[in-house]
Amino acid sequence: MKCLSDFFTFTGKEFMELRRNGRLLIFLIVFVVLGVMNPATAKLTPWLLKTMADSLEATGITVTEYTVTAMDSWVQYFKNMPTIGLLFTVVMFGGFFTSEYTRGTLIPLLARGLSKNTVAAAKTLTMLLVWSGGYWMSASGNAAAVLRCVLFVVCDISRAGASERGRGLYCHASDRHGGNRSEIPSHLPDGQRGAAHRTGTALGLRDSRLCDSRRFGCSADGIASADSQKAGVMGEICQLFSRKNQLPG
Amino acid sequence: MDNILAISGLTKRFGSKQVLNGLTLSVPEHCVFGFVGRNGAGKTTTMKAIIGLLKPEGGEITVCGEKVSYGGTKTNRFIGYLPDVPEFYGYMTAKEYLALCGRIAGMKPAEIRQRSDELLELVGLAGEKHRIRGYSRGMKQRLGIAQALINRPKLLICDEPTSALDPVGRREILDILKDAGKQTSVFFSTHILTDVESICDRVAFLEGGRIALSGNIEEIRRKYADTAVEVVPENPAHAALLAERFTAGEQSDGCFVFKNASAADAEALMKFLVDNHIAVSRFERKEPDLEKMFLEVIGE
Repeated sequence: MKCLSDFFTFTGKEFMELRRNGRLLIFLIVFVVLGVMNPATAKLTPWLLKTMADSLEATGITVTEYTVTAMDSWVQYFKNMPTIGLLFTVVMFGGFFTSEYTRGTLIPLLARGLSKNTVAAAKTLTMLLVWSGGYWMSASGNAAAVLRCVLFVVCDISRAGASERGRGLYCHASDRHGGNRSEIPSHLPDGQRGAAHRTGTALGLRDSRLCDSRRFGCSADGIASADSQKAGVMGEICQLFSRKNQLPG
Repeated sequence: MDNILAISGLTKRFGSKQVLNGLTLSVPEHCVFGFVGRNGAGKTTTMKAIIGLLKPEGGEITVCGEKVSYGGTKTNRFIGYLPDVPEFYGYMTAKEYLALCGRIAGMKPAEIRQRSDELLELVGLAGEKHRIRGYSRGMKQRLGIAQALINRPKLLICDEPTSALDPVGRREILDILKDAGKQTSVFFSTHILTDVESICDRVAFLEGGRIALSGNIEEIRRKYADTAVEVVPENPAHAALLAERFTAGEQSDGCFVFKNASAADAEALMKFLVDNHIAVSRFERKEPDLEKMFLEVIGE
């Protein structure tokens, strides 16, 4: 019983220490940043590549248009947390045991009857709680950011309707057709096809394959498929479109 | 139960250095016990062994009749310990720190509050609202005593509490320890002999890993009594005259010293000075001091 009460007392002391020396705040900031960073990067990458496409093309690199989905953001997040997040936690808790030992702050408490095992257990629990709390917090941050993007897309699509489809279409620069051609779904009214075509051209894409965002789950803002598997799916979608709309091959 | 603390045949070796070599001593109840030894003599080692932070190779320590075991903290409920350089959590206030110590000592919240107020008053930190990181060395030392006394221990162990303090701070700490000695036994180590003389009832000299001399201070004083009388005449030439008359004494540089002078000897000496109209600038009956005893005991 005494052991348990000592354990809670010492854990309380550890959290007071984290709070008062500002570490808890640092953890909060870093984990939130880690959580929000991945959706942000996912959202910004297509834009970054678009802006860099011209200069990269001059060096001989053809930028393949790729789309990023919320899932990519999640995958990236779960790749990053165990490395950056854990590394950060390890660094922050680096002197957690040794500093007490070297400074001698434990001695008056040990001399008072506090067991060393209780100290070790309380410190371990503190670390686990901070790490788990941080993980959940950043995951929530990630989820919130992803959700925001998803909601944005859903709202955007439902509001936009057919006339907005042009904005929601995705282009594949390296499809099997090649060449500098824009392919416009034939079911779009002419005016909108023109708009879609102009959008593709304005984005500087060499080959704009336009897909129905509502039908194929592509987003309006670049949160769509990115990895190879999804790029493959994208290619199939393009083919479907080609056949369905009997676009000139 | 007579002895709060009893140590018998304690041995400890660090590598090739035999620090404690059969140390035996006992501290009775309600006594301020001075533990004297030079730097590196093994004072801190002994104290750490008493609180179970260090494993001795041989010997036995009992606190309030219970055997101390290394790593075990059962006997520590009787002990309050003040390390030589106490370090506290700088982000806490004195009151918060005492509350932490009280909780670990198993005290109830109301009792902790009451005892903290009492102790902070006793050590002169009652009005201190700042966090510990801003405390001076003396303030930390005083807080250290307060935390050691929080659960009314039967034995207060202080490791060199007065070293590295200024004279005012030292005096304050000694006064606090003297006060504490009324309620509990105080076992404190030091190499400052005047501290021992001013507050201790008993003393033990540690030398060569064992107790070279221990006992009641008054008894030791009597045992080592060297009640010399020192006379400095106004006219230095008179010192030779005194040396001629009292052959047991000797003179040098116009100063006459009569070693082991009895009360009758001192009286005869005064009578001689009066009869011969010898003016003196100083007539002093020397008391034996611990420093001389200590040097004698350690053979220097």
